[in-house]
Amino acid sequence: MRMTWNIGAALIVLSAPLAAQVGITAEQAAGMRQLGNVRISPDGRWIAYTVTVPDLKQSSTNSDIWLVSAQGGDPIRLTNSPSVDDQARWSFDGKWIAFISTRDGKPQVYRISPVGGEAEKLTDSKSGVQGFEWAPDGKRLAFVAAREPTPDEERKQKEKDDAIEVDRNFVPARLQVFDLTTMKATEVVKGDDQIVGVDWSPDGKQIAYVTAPTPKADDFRFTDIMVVDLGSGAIRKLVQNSGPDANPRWSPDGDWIAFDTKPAKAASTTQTRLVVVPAGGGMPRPLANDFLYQPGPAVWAPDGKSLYFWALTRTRPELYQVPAAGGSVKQISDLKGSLGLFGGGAPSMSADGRMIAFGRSTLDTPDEVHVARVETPWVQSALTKLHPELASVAMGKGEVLRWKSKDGMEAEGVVVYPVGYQPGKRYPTVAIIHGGPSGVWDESFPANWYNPAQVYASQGWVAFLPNPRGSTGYGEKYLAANYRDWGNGDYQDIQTGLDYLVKRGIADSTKLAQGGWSYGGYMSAWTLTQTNRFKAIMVGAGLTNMYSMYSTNDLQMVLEDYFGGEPWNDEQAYRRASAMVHIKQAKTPTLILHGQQDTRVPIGQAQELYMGLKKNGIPVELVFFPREPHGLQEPRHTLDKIVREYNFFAKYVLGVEPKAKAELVP
Amino acid sequence: MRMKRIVVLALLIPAGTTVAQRPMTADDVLAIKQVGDAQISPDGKWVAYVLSAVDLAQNAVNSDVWLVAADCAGPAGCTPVRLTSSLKADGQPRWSPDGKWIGFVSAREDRPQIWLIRPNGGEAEKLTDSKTGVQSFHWSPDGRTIAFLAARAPTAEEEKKEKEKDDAIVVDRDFRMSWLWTIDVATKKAAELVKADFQIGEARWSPDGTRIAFVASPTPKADDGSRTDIHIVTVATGERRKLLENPGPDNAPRWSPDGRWIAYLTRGDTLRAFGQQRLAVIAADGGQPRSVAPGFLYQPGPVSWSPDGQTLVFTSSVRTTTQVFSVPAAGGEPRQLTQSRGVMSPPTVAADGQTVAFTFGNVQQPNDVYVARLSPAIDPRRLTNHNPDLGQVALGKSETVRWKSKDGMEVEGVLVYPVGYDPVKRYPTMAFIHGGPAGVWTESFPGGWGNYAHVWAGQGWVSFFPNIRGSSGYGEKYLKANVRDWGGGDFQDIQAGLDNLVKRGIADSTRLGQSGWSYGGYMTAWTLTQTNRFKGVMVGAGLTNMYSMYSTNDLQTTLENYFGGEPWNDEQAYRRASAMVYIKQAKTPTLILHGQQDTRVPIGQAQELYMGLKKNGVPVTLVFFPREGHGLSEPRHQLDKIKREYAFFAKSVLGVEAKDKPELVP
Repeated sequence: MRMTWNIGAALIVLSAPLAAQVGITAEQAAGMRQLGNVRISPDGRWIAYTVTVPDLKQSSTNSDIWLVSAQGGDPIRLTNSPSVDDQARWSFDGKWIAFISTRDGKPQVYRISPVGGEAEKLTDSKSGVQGFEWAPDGKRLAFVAAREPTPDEERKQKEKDDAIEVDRNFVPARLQVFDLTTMKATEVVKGDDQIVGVDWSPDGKQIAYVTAPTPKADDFRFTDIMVVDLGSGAIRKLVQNSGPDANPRWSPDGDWIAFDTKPAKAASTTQTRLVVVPAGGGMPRPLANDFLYQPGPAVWAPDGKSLYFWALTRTRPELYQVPAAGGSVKQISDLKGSLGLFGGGAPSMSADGRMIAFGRSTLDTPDEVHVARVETPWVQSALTKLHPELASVAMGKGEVLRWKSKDGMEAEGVVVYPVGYQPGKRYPTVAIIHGGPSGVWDESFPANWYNPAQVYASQGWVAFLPNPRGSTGYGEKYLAANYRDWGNGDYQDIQTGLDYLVKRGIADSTKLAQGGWSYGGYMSAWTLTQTNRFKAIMVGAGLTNMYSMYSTNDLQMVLEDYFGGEPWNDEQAYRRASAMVHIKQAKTPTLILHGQQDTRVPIGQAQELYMGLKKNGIPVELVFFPREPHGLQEPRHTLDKIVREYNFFAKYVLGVEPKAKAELVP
Repeated sequence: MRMKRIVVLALLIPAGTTVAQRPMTADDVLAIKQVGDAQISPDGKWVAYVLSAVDLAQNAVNSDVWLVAADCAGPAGCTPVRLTSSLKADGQPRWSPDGKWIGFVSAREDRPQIWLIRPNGGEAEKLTDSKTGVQSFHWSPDGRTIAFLAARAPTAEEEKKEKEKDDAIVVDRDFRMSWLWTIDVATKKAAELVKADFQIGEARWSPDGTRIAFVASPTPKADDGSRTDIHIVTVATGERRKLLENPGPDNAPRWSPDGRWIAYLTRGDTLRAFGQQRLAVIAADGGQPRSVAPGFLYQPGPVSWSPDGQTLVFTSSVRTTTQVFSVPAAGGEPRQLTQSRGVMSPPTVAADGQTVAFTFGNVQQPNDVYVARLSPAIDPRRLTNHNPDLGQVALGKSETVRWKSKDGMEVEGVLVYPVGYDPVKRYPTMAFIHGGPAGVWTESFPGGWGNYAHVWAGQGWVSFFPNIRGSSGYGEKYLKANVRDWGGGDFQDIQAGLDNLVKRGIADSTRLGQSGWSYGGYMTAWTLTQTNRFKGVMVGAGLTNMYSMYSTNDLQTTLENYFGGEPWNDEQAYRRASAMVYIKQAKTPTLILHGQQDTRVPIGQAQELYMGLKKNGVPVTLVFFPREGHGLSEPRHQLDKIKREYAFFAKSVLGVEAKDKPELVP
């Protein structure tokens, strides 16, 4: 078996003579270095970034902070602990980089000089630092840490007198200021607030912070922006708004605060708006009012006259500029790629506003640190080579496609072609459905457990990555187009997309598979009960019974947004969209994958589908990943997922026996 | 120490009635020492047994093996000796056939192993060195060999994967079956005797030591626990055969003294998961089984053969008590040998076939060790009093009550009156619903987290323990009277029982509470949606949505048997009996308690009820107990449960606000 297969691989290699290796392997995908938190220095000369290295032997990861010159050259590894070093922040004078490290157990803030020397520990928080920002004077840090346990809580913990009262006894996350002169921390905001973000006023006298009523995921739609005066300790709410207010940014003159906001009602299907408000309070003024896309967190231009933000524009993020006084949004960048699946956030720009740094990948090249001048025409250059092992690997080419759905709505998606694709030849095709439902497939490099499109490409498959209605990046109307319609229009968007690939002679209609995680798992479970066109289905952390899902997950209000209310008030809305209600129609062999500690989509959803298929005689395999929450984190599990899913599809779609992990290399 | 104890015992027993008695506290409940597993020595002169005591400081239960002389003069004159003294669990004491050794299972060194100790002095020595731990064992008749059960050891591949955390769990595959081993007592050499694709649950040597009868089920899954078969293996050759073909469960094989017959318990598979087992005898070489007591109303337990092979002795749960019966091995009408008002363990019989030991307790007395002779009439003699401190505590009086249900069916239950009950007064009343549904409330001592009636009695409450249709101990017809009727007749049985207590002037109809665990939690959640007569209810590990319950718990067959099929084939049967379907009718303040690792009734059932009540504005508290399965095992959690539950009902039923748990619960 292995012999035959090796011969096949050799033939493919011959047809792609320019590359030493045809396509990325599963191990390479699971073991790929990940880029994060790209931060340019205030003078624009250096870029700090985090590299996370998966260790497949230990099934662990190590993150370190690196530094590269904006001119290029060899990067320097700045931190060197075997634990997590991340969240680098330049001091305003550029002399220090502060970061969070778990090298001494709990996460604490350290600082290190970018020109040499070892890191120095600053904070000593009993509960660990969750986030921090430098004061403009460079002498203080604002940081957030959970309230320390009381003696009674500690005693109970020790004695295991530890019954958990649900929705009670939340541990607040509090704002503290650390003074680098005295090396002491002071709590500046006590109470039950759950503080999730901070921004200093330019004069260093006030801090704007974002607070949620509780740490519950559902309560993050109720965040407010508060401003604390460090002199008096007085606290005021910046604006009254029912919905989430987040990402406050003081203008350079301290007169204004820009932030993101939206109403609480239907928060899931509404895009956030960028607004500015006088720092002393007043009426928020919307910016970019007619902008189709959703602005990300903004930064002010140094002159305070405009703001910059990233916004996902269909399958590509782009940098936009908007006048602070109001007016039209102007696109600055031409990224020809993506910031990467886990990128985004506020733009990282030099103090003069002329340079910007970011991580960028494309459908066939992995993440690298990039730098560009903030101007049009846009010129960007890559500064790093994080993936030397992939330099000689031929990847599948990607393309963005559009098609008409059943009801005439235009849908878009990404196609990754097999390595060595030959037009006119039909290929086995896997549709991979994203989560959310308000997620999106952008043009970032798809070679990870969540989206292993390039691994499929290496094995001669077409990977189809549709953005069905409800996806982000296409405006608010598209985002809300699946309201009370899960499993209908969105499902048709995917099926018509596949029809289109078949019609164009790309996909082999007899060799189709579908998989997805989270809402993508929901859609795959639903699909299983609606069509028999697929030879195999993978349901990852999928929602299968919307009624039981509602009460057992941690986001009731999101489901209320989509389904129009609570299930006991409109049970039919939840039933109509549940795979379990139609389970007797299922015929397709199914692989179910689920993190065993998932609280977003609890394992009961997997168990319901498993039992429904098993008792009805459908081939089904249920796999739990120990210790994993809603997404897979341990490298061995991510590798297992890619290989197991591939093998399952190979078996049922191609009729090929499973391969060992090491064999899944071309 | 031992000396002093004897003195205390001697003083207390006569003084018990005159000492001023105080109400029982939750701590008193935890302090009760549990006596079990009484084993008579072959010569009938000694009884080995297990004594378990809570160690609150360690949050653990410590069990040790004790020894008491069978001919001593009652509890005051007996001097039980603690034979083992490890801080870990020591249990399953079993005499060697010559009476010179007691084998027991101890986890003192990590995994449970068989240890041997001399009853007349000397420390224990370890016999087995099982990689996975010994589950149970049986001495060969010549005492030279011990048969034991242990799960198969992980393969090298499995160990490697576990070490590397390459540990995805494929559900329903790669079972770690328990297999049959033998070990030579002299050389301590162990060997696998039976390893096969099934799970072995019990093993018994033939009298001549050449064969072993064992019970096996297809997998270790709980759902397969009702698919057991009896096999016979020849020790010398390892050859094995199934004793008989029967689709239902076959259990508890017991060889006749001449080795020609095997008595066992069996059932057909009309309802595979529940129903009364019947006593049968079959030739050890196979053949037609013979039913021994076909007309017997109750369910026989495992039998003992008389030395002449003519008579079988067994115990049965008879209504709220246990009774001993004998029946001719050739078949006939069982004869009841006891008229007990309490609960006893199956007696163990000495070599003379006459002297027996067992534990016995009743509502007023926790279990202690007794000996008796079987003929001419059973003459029990109490040997121990392990809870002398109970003399300081006031206990409620108890009685059994009977009433007619709504449809005329006769129902029985146990009533525990408040301490100092005054017949002219009405009392606040708690209905406690047992699990199962095939459980039963018996006249055993209510000294645990699941039933602590004397604490309620001490606080002036009536505790009502109805044995509603579906309970064990009332015959096959009653056991099955709730098939396809959960929440129907069983619910009426309880309500009619309370009506009866109100009518009799005992219960105060304005101060009623209801509480239950497992099926008792189901019934309580159901009750919450069907009546507003209760001022508060506690749902412990309760089933609330039978549809999602079916697939997410570990006993599908049991639910199929009760509901008539799988939910997708008759969804209405599951909906009709689900509290969640009627959740908008609920009005009663509710406390929900649940073990966080429960797989019998998963936490989703608690979360569904919680969300349904919370979102509909009904006062509700949900508490999870970390690390706990379907029952509570950690003493701190047991204490929490008792106090929390009492405080909840004091508040909701009596209107007494809990200032502090210790203040409220004396």
